[in-house]
Amino acid sequence: MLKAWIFLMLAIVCEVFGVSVMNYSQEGKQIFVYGFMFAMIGVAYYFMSLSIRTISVGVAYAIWEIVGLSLITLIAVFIFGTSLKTQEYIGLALAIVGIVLVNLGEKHEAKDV
Amino acid sequence: MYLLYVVLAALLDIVANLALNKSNGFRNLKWGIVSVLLVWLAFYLLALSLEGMKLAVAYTLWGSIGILGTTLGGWYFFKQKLKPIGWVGIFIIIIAVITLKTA
Repeated sequence: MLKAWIFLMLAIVCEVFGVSVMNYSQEGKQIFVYGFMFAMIGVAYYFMSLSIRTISVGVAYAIWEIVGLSLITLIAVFIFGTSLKTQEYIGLALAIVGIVLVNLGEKHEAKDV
Repeated sequence: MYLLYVVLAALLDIVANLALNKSNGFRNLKWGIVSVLLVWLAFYLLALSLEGMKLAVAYTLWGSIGILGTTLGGWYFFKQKLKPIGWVGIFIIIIAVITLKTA
């Protein structure tokens, strides 16, 4: 189970890197931007496939989506010194609640990695 | 038109996730490759849609459809059941995505 979570976190980190560069795609050098993005997404999906051998695919994908988004928000705070709006605090709080509930609601019949 | 790109990207992403599940950790390589090709196409369409839409709008639509579709797909095709509290969690996560992206 722990292994599955580590794979999921690795997948998320790769995806965050991949998607972050998409913002630069309008500034020329498109081929490099897309190349990097596609490579990262490929690696992310490989890790994801290992993770969902244990975690159900819907739960893993929901967590991947929201943790990725929360990470991007937190990176803005800790690296770029942006301050959060009230709505973003609410969003992060909802993210945590959602993740906890989804985990409580998972039926574990799947085989372990 | 751009809206269509996003919806199509989300649907491709759902199929990619389900194919990924079928690949059993890339042991069934065929499904793994199909999955990565589909997700590449999905991201390409998402990038195209950004020419005509804000990233926030595109991403929330894509994320919401993707999360719901993947969970329903996992339940329908792979019998991956979720307790009611888990479904509540899925919806709260979707609301969290929307809340974060529209801030």
